Parts: sequence; structure tokens; C-alpha cells
Amino acid sequence: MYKYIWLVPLLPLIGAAINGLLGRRLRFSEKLIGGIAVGSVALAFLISVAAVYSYGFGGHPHWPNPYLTSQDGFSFSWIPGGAVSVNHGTEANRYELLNIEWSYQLDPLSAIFMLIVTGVGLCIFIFATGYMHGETGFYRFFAYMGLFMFAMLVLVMGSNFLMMFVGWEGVGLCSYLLIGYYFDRQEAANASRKAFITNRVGDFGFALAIFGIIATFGSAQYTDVFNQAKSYDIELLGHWGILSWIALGLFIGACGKSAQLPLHVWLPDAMAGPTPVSALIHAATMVTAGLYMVTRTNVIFQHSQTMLLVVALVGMGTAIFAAIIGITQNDIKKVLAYSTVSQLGFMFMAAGVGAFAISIFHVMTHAFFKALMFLGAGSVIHGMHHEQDMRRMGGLKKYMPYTYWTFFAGWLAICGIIPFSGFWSKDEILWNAASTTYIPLGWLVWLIGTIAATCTAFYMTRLMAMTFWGKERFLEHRAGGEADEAHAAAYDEGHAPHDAVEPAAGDRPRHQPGEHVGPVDHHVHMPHESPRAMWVPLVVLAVLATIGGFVGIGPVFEPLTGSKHPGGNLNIVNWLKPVIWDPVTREFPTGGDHGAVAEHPAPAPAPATEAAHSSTAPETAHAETRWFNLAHAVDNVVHNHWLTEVLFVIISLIVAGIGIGLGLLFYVKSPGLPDIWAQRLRPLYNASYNKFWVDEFYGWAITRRVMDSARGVYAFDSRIVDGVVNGFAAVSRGISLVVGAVDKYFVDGIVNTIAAFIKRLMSPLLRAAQTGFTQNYALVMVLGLMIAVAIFFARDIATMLRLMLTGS
Amino acid sequence: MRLSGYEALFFWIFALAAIFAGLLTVMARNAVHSALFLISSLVSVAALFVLAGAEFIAGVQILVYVGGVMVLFLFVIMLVNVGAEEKGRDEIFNKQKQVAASLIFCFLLVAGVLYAVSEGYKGMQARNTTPPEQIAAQQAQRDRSLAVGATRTSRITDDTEQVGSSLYRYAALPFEIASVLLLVAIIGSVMLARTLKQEVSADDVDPETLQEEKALDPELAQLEPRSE
Amino acid sequence: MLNFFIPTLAFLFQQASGSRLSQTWDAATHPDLAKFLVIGALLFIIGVAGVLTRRNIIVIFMSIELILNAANLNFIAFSRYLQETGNANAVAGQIFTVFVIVVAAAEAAIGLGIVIALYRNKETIWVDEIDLLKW
Repeated sequence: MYKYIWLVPLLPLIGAAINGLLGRRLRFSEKLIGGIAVGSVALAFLISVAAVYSYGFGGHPHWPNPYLTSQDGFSFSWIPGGAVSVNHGTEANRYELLNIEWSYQLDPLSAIFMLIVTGVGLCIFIFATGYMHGETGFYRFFAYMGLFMFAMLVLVMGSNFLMMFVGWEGVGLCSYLLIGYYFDRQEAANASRKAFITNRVGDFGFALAIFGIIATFGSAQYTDVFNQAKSYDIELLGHWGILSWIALGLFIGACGKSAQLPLHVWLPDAMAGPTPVSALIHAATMVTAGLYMVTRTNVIFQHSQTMLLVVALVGMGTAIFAAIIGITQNDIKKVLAYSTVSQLGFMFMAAGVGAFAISIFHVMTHAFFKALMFLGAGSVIHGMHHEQDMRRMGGLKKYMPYTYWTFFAGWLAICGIIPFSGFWSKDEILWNAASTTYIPLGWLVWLIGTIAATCTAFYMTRLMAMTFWGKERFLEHRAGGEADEAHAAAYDEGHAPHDAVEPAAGDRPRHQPGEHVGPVDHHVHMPHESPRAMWVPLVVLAVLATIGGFVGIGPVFEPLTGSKHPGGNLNIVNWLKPVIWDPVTREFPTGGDHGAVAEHPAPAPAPATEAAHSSTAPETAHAETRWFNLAHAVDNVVHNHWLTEVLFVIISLIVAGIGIGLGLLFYVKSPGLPDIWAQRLRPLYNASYNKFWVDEFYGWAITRRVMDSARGVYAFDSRIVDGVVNGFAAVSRGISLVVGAVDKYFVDGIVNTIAAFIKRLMSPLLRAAQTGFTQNYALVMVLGLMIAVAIFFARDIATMLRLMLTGS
Repeated sequence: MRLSGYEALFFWIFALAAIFAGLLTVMARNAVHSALFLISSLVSVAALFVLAGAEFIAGVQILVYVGGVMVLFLFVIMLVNVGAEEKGRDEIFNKQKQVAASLIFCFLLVAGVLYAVSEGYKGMQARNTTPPEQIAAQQAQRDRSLAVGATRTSRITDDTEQVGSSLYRYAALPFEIASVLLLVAIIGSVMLARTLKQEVSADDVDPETLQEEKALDPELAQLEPRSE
Repeated sequence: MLNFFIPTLAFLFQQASGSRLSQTWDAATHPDLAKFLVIGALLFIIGVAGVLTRRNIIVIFMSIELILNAANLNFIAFSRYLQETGNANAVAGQIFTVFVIVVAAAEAAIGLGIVIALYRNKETIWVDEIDLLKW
């Protein structure tokens, strides 16, 4: 079955093409469009499941070797290139022709992503058929979503860097198209442009990295590149070599795509798109492409210790930065957006400390609970008639039960409460941060990560409290509020005809025809539960968010489960082992249970492996850590490694509990507390509320400077260049004036003089013939007659004259 | 067409008469004298026609030309009242320059014409194979076949018969066109000779001109057209 | 110059054979086609001279009639000659003469009508006083 994985990207593409090209022309009904879209994704999901099963489980699994469709001929030569040097380590200056093919690769990493993308995508598609009901651009939405699925699948299933890049750009494009779905809204148009341009900044780094890869390794295929890369020397902290450059470029790309610290600005603005878009693209799939890329190229990253540190620190910074901002936001989708940025920071933290499998594990669990929460938020918004401000919600628990309970599951998951999925992955991340031997400052990463986790629990509890619990504030609020004001402003400026029939721009309140829009009293809409198409996917995702973490039960529970990573190939760490390079053995492990297996020559003894936990120690050059390792420190105190782990688990649970408790305190028990503390921490509150003024800074430093230089260039062009051209034109005009004067006065003067002279000469002569005397005219007639006769006798007259004159 | 005997005699008489009359036509002081001299010239030429065997044309000439055209001339002379000349005060000839040039040209012209006639006749004679006597004998024979007149002094020639049969058969179209021409001439002459008063009565005057003429002659206003 | 005219004039009175005097006498007593043509030519010239020299417009018209008459004489003379020499179309000359007479009559009528109108306007019959086309 895995032979047919090339169908997986193709089916959503076909569905998108049908919907996009024919949906409007042939006037497909919503059912048909939705059916085509959901059907194509469902089919792709089923094929993915079958393929992954046949690849990794069942009779003769192909696992752990990667399977390329080119092995069975389902590929084509895409870019035949020129000669590149292929060094293969020691040989020098061998040249081969670069050949980039289009083939799909099925290996543990791409298998997970295939399942996540198609599975979570399927839930979101089904949700979207209900959410986008009534939109005039229904076909366009599903066309773009199908296109996005295609691009994302190409990204994760591609067998070389260039296919990844194609998918990378494709998802960026679809993100632009979908954020700007309500293209008649200025806000959405700006946000889509911002997303695309910020992505492009990252893509620049990515492209440079690809050039470096091709130049260094002479190929772009993963198998070729990684086989060569694994034999390079590790570049330790302070040494910067070619692999560090490549890793830097790759990481810049990842920052752009996954909204890490300097390039995160687009993600919150991207909430201007429809909620299913936010769920699919900006929670579950596109933003995780950076993680995919980092994990795919973990060989290169592991060879560059400096870059690993950079990754970890950037992830850490992003996590805490976004978490602080998320505490003060009032728009439900913005809170979730900053939560996404923060959780992405966690994932990069995991990658940075060397726990690549755990970062993918967190990608998976995050996909579940974040998509769930976004869809739940979409359900809330839909039920609240497109009100997004949490200050005007409250007490929705009894109005929207399905939404509430599913959201509840997601909330517990993100806070990291056992046994929900978020607990397992987050706990592993923090433990790996504390115990890492890959980079220094692991303890700092752990500390900041823990604080960020506390903040996460706090603001998610705040969200739950403001939305679902407490007083029903929507009953009190009349007109006003951000949504209504923006709506009214647009109406007053004449931008949007706010008619219930017309497509209401974005998530704005819809009104009945003739209803007055504006800051006057408008009646309250009672919230209602969403239709089945919308809450069924919520239930599915809630189930996944609850039990999805069991694929990653960590070694700390060994006494309970009986193995470090229980579940065989179903355990995510075991499953991903062939993909993560092992710096001890300097090889890609061939997988199996219990970490190091006898298949490869492993110099490290088993106990050392156990002590080193899930990630093996780096090269022996610094096996004894020169820097502080928190886990080892605690170990030395407790003298029991397992207890150390248990301690860290308990600490993370406690901090989650603290976060929840504070949230309940602030927003359920004493609702006056938030304002008091906001007053006390006024500077911090302002910084958080204004998103640390990052957008303003970019505007001042970059945008305005670029526009100033554009103005300067324009001034140069219009004054100097155009001045020269106009000068030439003026000179030409002057010359033509002179020539015209010469012609008019000089040449015409001569002509007129000649004409007058002739007239004076000839006129009297000719006039003399007009006597008016008839007989003169008769005389002339006779003369003419004579001449005729003479001509008649010309010869004879000549003879006669001759005779007369000569005499005869 | 050799004429002989009395025919030759009469030829000379009438020829000289014609030339002489023509000369006097041109040189007479009185217009009426000119007309009368022209009449005599025309009659002499008619006699020459008879001698040339074209009696019908001779008759036509006298009837139409003399009887019609010359009478018309005389009427017009009467109308335009040229009595002043009789007293001999006005010049009848043009200025000397004009007369001199005319005479020179005429002289040259007559020289050319006479030369042409002589050369042409020589050529015709050369081409003509039958001698003149034979032609005369044939013509005499043809004449003998004609019917004899009632008085038995001459024969009835068939000239009229020939002219008539040709005119109404082969020349029928020119004949009709000629009749139209005469019609046009009648109408034209009537129109040309109308007086202003007649034109006003017939409402045939341009309004602007009418205004001017009314200013000169108030009676015209009463003649305003009888427009029905 | 005399060399030109004397043979011409002499020819008029010449005959094919015999002495010059007898030839002349013979030609004189037997006028031929040539005599007719010469008479016509002389009348023609007289008419042309009259047209060009006289001041009286009526006399000019009469001179024009002379010219036309001379042409008629030519036609008739040739008609007779051709009849005698056996040409089938000899009567065409007389037909032509008829038409010339017709045209002459029509032209005289119109012309005199014009003279009447002219006299009414200008009160004169002297041609040299009618010079409105002078520059």
C-alpha cells in the first residue's frame, strides 16, 4: 500500500482544482463543494493510514529504511542540473551531474506528519463546511484549502530539499490567500501581506541554506545529504564551520515559518482569516513545518553545537515572550495565537536541547489540542454571532455544552495535566531541557520553560473563565465593543454594505436588512450551540487530545509500563529513532526498542545509556560536562536517577496547578484582582498589552526607512532624470521655433517676391489680349484657320519657299 | 460636269453677279442696301444651283433663305433703326489696324484656298480614269432617260425625287433633329426678345432685379404677375 | 511669289491638250467643278472680310450668311460632280445643303433675337461699343 503514497498529495490537489476552476462557473452547491473537498482529504487520509501501517507494521514492514517512490518508479526527473562536486567525505573533487527528482519519501518522520496533516485536516475540513456556510466564496475557500493540503503534503513527503522548498513556498502562498480570504477588509489584506513578507524573510535564509547544501554535498536528496553529513566533524561551541552556516540558514527559515522571536509578528495578525484557517494553518500544520525541517536536518544541527544553543535560546525566548503577551489579550483568537507562538517556542526548545523526537511529539499533541481549541473558539464565535471579544462573553457553559466540554479537554491538555496529551510532551521537554548534555544553559532553558508553562496555564484558565464560566456579560453589553465599533466604522465609511444578504466581511456581526448599524442600542443575540458538522470534529479532536499522549509515555513511568518507551513502534521515540542521528555511534540507528540495539557498534555501555536518558551523550570530547547540568546536580543530591525524574514531573505538575489556581483566583473567585494587579504592574501590563511594541519598532526601523529611501529615489528620478529629459525637450522646442521663424519670414519672403515679380511682368501682357471686342476674337479665329490650312500644306509651303528663295 | 453652251454663259453671268453682289454687301453704307445686295447674291447662287443640277435646293434657297431669313433681317434692321448711317456720319468700317490685319489674313487665306483647289483638282483629275468627254456622254445619256416635260422643251429631272427619298429615308434622323433644332430656335428667339415688361408679366424676373427695376420704373409694380 | 500664282491662275483656264490660248478658251467656255469651287472660295473670303471689318452688327450677320452660302455652293458642286462620276452617294451633298440652310435659318433667328435684346439694353448696333468683356 505504501507504493501509492504519491496519491496522497494528488487527491487534495484534484479536489482543489475541481472546486476552484469549476465551482463558480458550474455553480456547485455547497454540499457538492464540501463533499469534494472533504472526500478528497478523507481519501488521502485513508491512503496515508494504510500506507503507514503497511510501512511500519504488519507483515514485512519497510521500517526503518526510508521508502522512496522512485524505487517503484512513481517519480520523475524534475530539475536536471549541472556539475557539482561530490566529495563524499575524503575523496576530493569528484563531479557528478546534479539531478533533482520529484519523488516522495515515506519514512518515520514523514509518516507522522502525513497522518497529522490529513487527519487533523480532515476534522477541520468537516468543521469548515459548517462554519463557512452561507459564504459566497465557499468554493474559493475549499479550493485554497485543498491547495494548501497539497503543498503541505509535498513539504512533508518530499524526498529532497527542493521539494520541501516548493511545499514551503506553497503553504506560504496558501496562507496568504486564506488569511486574505475576506479580501475586501483592509485588516485582512494587510495581515496576509504581512504574513507573506515575513515568511519571505525566512525563506531567504532557507534558500541560502539549500544553496550551501548543494554546494557542499552535491545533492539535494535527503538520503544522499545525510549519509555524507554524518561523517563530518562536529563543530563545537565556538567553532563555526560550513555546517553551522547551513544550519543558520535553515533556522532562519524555520523562524519565519514557525513564527519564532524576531519573525513572529505575522501570526497574531493572521487571525483576521476565517477560524478554520487559523486552526489548520496556524496551529496544526504550517507553523510546524519549521519543526519538520529542523528534525529532518537534525544531523546538520547536531553537528553545530552553536546553532543548537541558538535554537534552544530562541525557542525559550519566544515561549516566555508570547506567554506574557497572551495574558493580557482580550480577543479569544489572539490569545490562542500567542499560545501557539509560545508552544512553538517549546518545540524549538526541545529541538535545541537535542530531543528531536520529543519536539515532534509535542507537534503532534499540540496539533490535537490547539486545533481543538481553535475550532472550539470558532464554534463560540459562531454561536455568539461573530463576537470575538472575551469581555463580552461569559457563562457560555450552559448554552454550548459540546463546545464547552471539548474545550475543557483541550484546556487540561495544554495546561499539562496528567493523563492528557499535553502533559506527556511538555514534561518530556522540560526534563530534556534540564538534563541535556548537548548544550550549555540547559538549566536556564528549563527555568524559563517552566515559567512559560505556568503562564500558559494561567492565561488558558483565564480564557476558560472569561468565556465559559461566570456571569453572562453579553446580556449587559449593548452596542459598542471592538467588533461592533470596527463594524460600524466600516459601515460609516461606506466600505461595506452591511446587509444580511451580502457576504459580511469577516467575523463581523451580521445584521438583518434595514437594521441600523452603529453605536446605538441593538438587541442581544442569544448564543446557541453549533450545528453537528461543527461539534462532531470537536469531539474527535477532544478524544485525541485526551488519549493522544499515550504514544509518548516517557521512561519515568518505566516501573508502571515495563519499558522505557512502551508500545514498540507505536511509541513515538522508538518510531522516530531511525531518523534522529546518534552522535555517539555517528550513525542513524536502525530503530527497535530500548534505544541502542546490538545492530550497530555501540561503544557506550548499557547503564551509561540508561543514565543518559532518552538522548545519548555527545562526543566523548566533552562527555564530562564542563557546564552546569541541572539534572545531574539534582541527581547528586538525591542519588536516585529515577527520583530525579519523578521530582521534575511533580514540579511541572505543581507549576501547572499554580497557574490554574491563580487563574481561577483572578477570574472566578475575585474578579476584581486582575485590575488591581494590572495597576500595580502597570509597566509590565502595558508592555504585554502592546505586544512589547515589536510591530511599532519594525515599522519605524524597517518599513519607514524603506519608504524614505523609496521617496529619495523617486525624487532623484523625477527631478534629475526627468529634468534632463525635459531639458532636451525644451532645447528641441527652441530649435523648432527658430526654424519656424526662418521659414516664415525668410523663405516665404523670397517666394512671395518672386511671385509678385512674375505677376507684374506678365499681367499687362496677358491683359492686353482681353479687348472685349468681338471682331478681334473673330480675327484670331481666322488666324487659327490659316494656321490649320498652313499645317495642311506644310510640305508644299516649304517647297515653295525653297523655290522662291533659291530661285528657279 | 462640264457645262457648255448657254449653260456656260449663264454660269459666268450668275457667278460674277454673285461675287459682285457679295462685295457690295460688305461695302454698302446702308444696312438695307446690304440686305438687298445679299438677296441678289443669294438669288445668283440659287441660279448656280440650278446650273449644277440641284433645282430643289435652289428652290429651297430662295424660299427659305431669301424669303425667310432675309425678310427677318430686314425686319430687324427696321427695329434697330439704323437710319443714322444714311447721313454718312458714322464709320462703317473698323479701325485701320483691324481692317488691315483682316485684309492681310483674308488674302493669305484665299491664296491658300485657291492653291488647295488647284492642287486638289489636279489630283482628282489624275485619279479619274475616264476622260471628261466620256463622263459628259454618260451624263447626257442619263439625261435622255428622263421624262420629257409638258412643253417638250426640257426634261423633268429627278433631283427632287432623289433628295426626298434620301432625306426621308437615310437622313430621317438628322431631319428630325433639325426639326427639334428649329423648335429650340423658335423658343429661344422668343425668350431672348422679350421686354422687361413682358418678363415681369410672366413672372420671370429675379426678385432682386425686380426691386432694382421697380425703383427705376414704378409702372412695373402694377404689372405684378397674374399668379393663379 | 509670282511664280506661284501665275501657274495657279493659268491652270484655271487650262485644258488637257491644245495651245494655251485654246486651252484657256476651252476651259472658260466649259466651266468645270474647279470653277464652282473657286467661286465658292471667293464668296467665302468676301464674307470673312465682311465679318472682320464692318462695325454694323447686322451687316456682320449678313456676311456670315454669305459664308454659309459659299459652303452650300461647294456642296452642290461636289454633289453634281460625284453624280456624274458615278458615285452612289452623290445626293448626300444636297442633303447636307438642306441642313446647312436649316441651321443658318435657326442661327439667324437666334442671333437677331440677341441683337434685339442687346439693342434694347445698350441702344447701339456698333460692335466696337459692346466691349463689356474688356479687362
